[in-house]
Amino acid sequence: MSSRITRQIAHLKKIALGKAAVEVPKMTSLSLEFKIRNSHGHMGARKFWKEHLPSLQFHNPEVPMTVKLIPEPASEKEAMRAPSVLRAEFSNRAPVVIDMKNRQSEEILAEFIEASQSKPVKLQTFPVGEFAKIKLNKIR
Amino acid sequence: MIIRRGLTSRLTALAARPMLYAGPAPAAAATTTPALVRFKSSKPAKGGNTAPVAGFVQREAAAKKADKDKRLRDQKRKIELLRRQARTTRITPITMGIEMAARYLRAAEVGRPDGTNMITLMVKQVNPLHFQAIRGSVRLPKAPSLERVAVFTDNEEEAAAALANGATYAGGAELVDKVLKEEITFEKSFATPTALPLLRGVQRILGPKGLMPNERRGTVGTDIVGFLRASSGTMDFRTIEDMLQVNVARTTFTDEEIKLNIKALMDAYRLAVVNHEQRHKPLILEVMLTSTHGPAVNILA
Repeated sequence: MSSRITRQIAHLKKIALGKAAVEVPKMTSLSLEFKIRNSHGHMGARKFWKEHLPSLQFHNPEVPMTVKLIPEPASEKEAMRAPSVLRAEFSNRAPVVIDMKNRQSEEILAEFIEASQSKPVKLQTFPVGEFAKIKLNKIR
Repeated sequence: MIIRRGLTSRLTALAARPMLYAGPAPAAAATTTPALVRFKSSKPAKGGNTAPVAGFVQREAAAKKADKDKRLRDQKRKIELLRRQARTTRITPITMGIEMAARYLRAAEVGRPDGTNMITLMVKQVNPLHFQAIRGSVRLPKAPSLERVAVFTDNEEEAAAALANGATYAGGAELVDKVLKEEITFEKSFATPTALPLLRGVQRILGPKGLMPNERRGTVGTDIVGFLRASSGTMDFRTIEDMLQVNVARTTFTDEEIKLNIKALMDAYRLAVVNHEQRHKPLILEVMLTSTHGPAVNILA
């Protein structure tokens, strides 16, 4: 196996078998909102987006997930007040709102999994799905 | 007796074929003795046809040529190996259907603004020696670029036709009002000659951006649908070395739209290969689908 394929497998495994490989029942939408820069406790939110949101999206493909980046405020006061919030809407119950300020991504994920009553997806390897074994057209 | 007769006949037959059995050496060769030489010179004889002893320059040139030949031989061998690989359908561990590939890519691009989340199709091919790039053009069913087009017309039928053919905004006075209030922005604009008087008010807004329709630029005319077709129209592609890379879709497209775009592109590519001038055509080694931040997976296309 070439190293290129090994590298891609690692990338696919990270998406499909990450810590956030959970199915969230009855979730209709999920949105994150935080500051574009890490300061004032907004790093955990950004890490959550980069590390865990891809897995969540992969296992909940129908759910629209959005990330809103707040431009860096001009003053210190405004930067202190900028929100860092995760908000998940459900069809059958009240939305889950998590304050992500000054918290690490793993903590945020743990709280989200508990609050949203998610079910972990147990997979041995990354799924490749079904594909038709068609023959490539030959060009001679 | 019979045996001996057979043997002698065979021997005579052999003697008749000098390549196999030359027989005894001719007597003349044995009797010619070289002229008496006292000192054998290491220098080549004057005017003699003996080969000159190779100097540094000649040896260098010979080594260079041998090196070049070896490289060419290696290249040919590699091409032959890859061509053999390309003739069979290879299923790698990361080969998957387009739906599954799109699911991975959507996950990898989650939260990115629309417009940066391009899905790219890569075709790796095996080129013959001294290969010229393949060029072609394609009209994708749904254009992947995020280009908003405004059409100014006072005819409602034309406006509806424009919207159906890919215009983002279409209309008359009310659209001009929106532009005046700077509610909408766009990257391209067309107008009919009858709608031009309406646009005088927004000339100061559109003019500096280069969006003001005028006849000299070829953005004013009665055939609005034709304009739209031509503008969103054909996309050119070409191979760079052994790779074709084209943006075919965005992650916000549906599976069906992605499939149709990929099919259109592959058809255009194959046509370009068939119409290529060179006698030796390239073969497809593998087809990959990737995105701006996503992994690259093999697909069968």
